[in-house]
Amino acid sequence: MIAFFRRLNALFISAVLFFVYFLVIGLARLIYVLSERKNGKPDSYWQLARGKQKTVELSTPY
Amino acid sequence: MNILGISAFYHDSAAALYIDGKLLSAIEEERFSRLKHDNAFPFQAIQFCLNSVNLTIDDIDAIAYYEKPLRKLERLLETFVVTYPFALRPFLQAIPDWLGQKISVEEIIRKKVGFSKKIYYVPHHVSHAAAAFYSSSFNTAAILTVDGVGEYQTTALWKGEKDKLTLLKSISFPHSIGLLYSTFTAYLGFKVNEDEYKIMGLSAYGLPEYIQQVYRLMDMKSDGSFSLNMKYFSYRESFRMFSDAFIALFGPPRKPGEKVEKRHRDIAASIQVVVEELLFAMLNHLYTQTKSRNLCMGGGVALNALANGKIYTKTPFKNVHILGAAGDSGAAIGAALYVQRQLRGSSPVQQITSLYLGSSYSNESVESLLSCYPELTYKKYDSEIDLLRATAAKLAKGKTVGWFWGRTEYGPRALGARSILSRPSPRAMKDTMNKIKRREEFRPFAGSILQDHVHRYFYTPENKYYSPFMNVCLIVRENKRKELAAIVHEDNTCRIQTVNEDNGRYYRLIKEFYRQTGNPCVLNTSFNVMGEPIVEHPKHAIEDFLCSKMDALVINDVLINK
Ligand SMILES: [Fe+2]
Repeated sequence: MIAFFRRLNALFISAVLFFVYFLVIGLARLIYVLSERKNGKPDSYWQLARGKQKTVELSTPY
Repeated sequence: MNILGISAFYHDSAAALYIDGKLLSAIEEERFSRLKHDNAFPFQAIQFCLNSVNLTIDDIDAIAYYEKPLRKLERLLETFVVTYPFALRPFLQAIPDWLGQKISVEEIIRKKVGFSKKIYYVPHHVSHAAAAFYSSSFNTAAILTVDGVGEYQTTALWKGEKDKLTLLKSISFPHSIGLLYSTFTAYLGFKVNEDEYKIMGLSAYGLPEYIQQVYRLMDMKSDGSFSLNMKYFSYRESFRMFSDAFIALFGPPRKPGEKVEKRHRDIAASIQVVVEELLFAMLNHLYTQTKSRNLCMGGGVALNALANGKIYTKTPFKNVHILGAAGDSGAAIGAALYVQRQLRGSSPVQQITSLYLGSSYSNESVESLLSCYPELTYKKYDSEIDLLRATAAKLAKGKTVGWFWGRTEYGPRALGARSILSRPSPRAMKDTMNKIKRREEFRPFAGSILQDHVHRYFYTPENKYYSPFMNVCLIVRENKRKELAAIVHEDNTCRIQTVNEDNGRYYRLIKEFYRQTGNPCVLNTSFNVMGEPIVEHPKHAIEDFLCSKMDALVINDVLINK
């Protein structure tokens, strides 16, 4: 019985995530495509640090 | 101040404990769970670290976590946006996984570990850079961190000055040398995040005939920066690392267990050459940015010993430090070191010269365990020199010896605490050891050599070259190749550990072996059989001993025979 409810729960979560994927991620994709800028080939692929290292905030998981 | 460093949920979960600036304990979770590269939250490793110094979690002042989990989740979600609508299945699998455990690191630490004080989240590549630099003897150094991926970064150039780490440049996901190498690992039929070193071993048997194809996977600049052409990779949107375009370029992938053919060997050689070229271009660029001759490297790619051995000839760096645990387990050390610097300000150099930081077992517990194995005969030695004489004599006679002594090593390499040893010649010793380890023939064995003699046997950057963590391959001198026949690889290199007084009884054993044979080197392979983590408890060692053709087993002061 517990196994049945577990499976039902997993199925429910999958269904919710299915809609989240197609609606939320889909919308984000649309915004991403509209705002995407086409860049030519750069001279280097290094991203410069620009002082962001100074602001490492350690107390948050973000 | 007591700081506990933790790494979890990717691979090689681990805990490391600093007490008042001293690294007193560190161990990977896999040793207890017996799951190789276990990525579960390291409850047992944490408990071990605390028990080893008779502390409880209430005595810990701060926990340093080795990454920022929410930034990692953000990258994951961004990846789902970029790959939409092709990543539904990974989305359905990854999100519950994240929402279930990975996102709630704080909750786990608070509720299950019972820790109520401050938790610090150190960005992943900062953890790698801190582990690499703060564990070295250098006051200033150039630092390269390079792995699969952290939060976003996959590669970063740093400058280290005293207590300060300055990020100079970086490259972000999905462009990753670690994932590039792992893609070839998967393509060649081996396990990702586990068998990369097999590709390194295999590469020596091939010719780099696929270099042009490998370069088609990326755009590489002369400054070592690169961008992968994602049409060849599918690790963002599926459970497979490589795409159909990759297969069209290289041919059908090798299935696990299939015969290794020339094509596979040549592909392995090609990816190794390209990764080396990438690394050396990066390092040469890093030198122009830092002008320091000291180099520290961290991240899983820094375990590529074959590339590491060429740094001295391919770049301007003169002194290289790579911590034995350069991968994610070592990031637990790095996170703790970084937090310590932030909280205490300036700290003296704390070079890590020994990684014997794990568990140990008493002679009494070994003897009581042996009473359960009446088929085994053993002798407990009261004098160390007698034990070393007897053990070295067995090695000299060509016997294989399981060597379980003191505290276990931290990191992926056996450094003479949980090792299987033999003499390094003749060549047939390699076959004997391969049978004990039940592993692929193409894989080379490493050696441990007295530091005072290393330059006589290898082409080293200096006399008495110091490389204690077995993460560098050096070329064996022509006149010594016969003496080291069982550990000289196809390309005439050998992964080598230099041994000195810091290695305690292991050093004294090799010294005794040298006295008896005139050879200052032994073959050293990790004490495990294929697919298992390194032995943890003496009973694991005894069981491996019983079910293999190992000739003798030494556990602490006890010499066991069959
Ligand atoms: Fe990493």
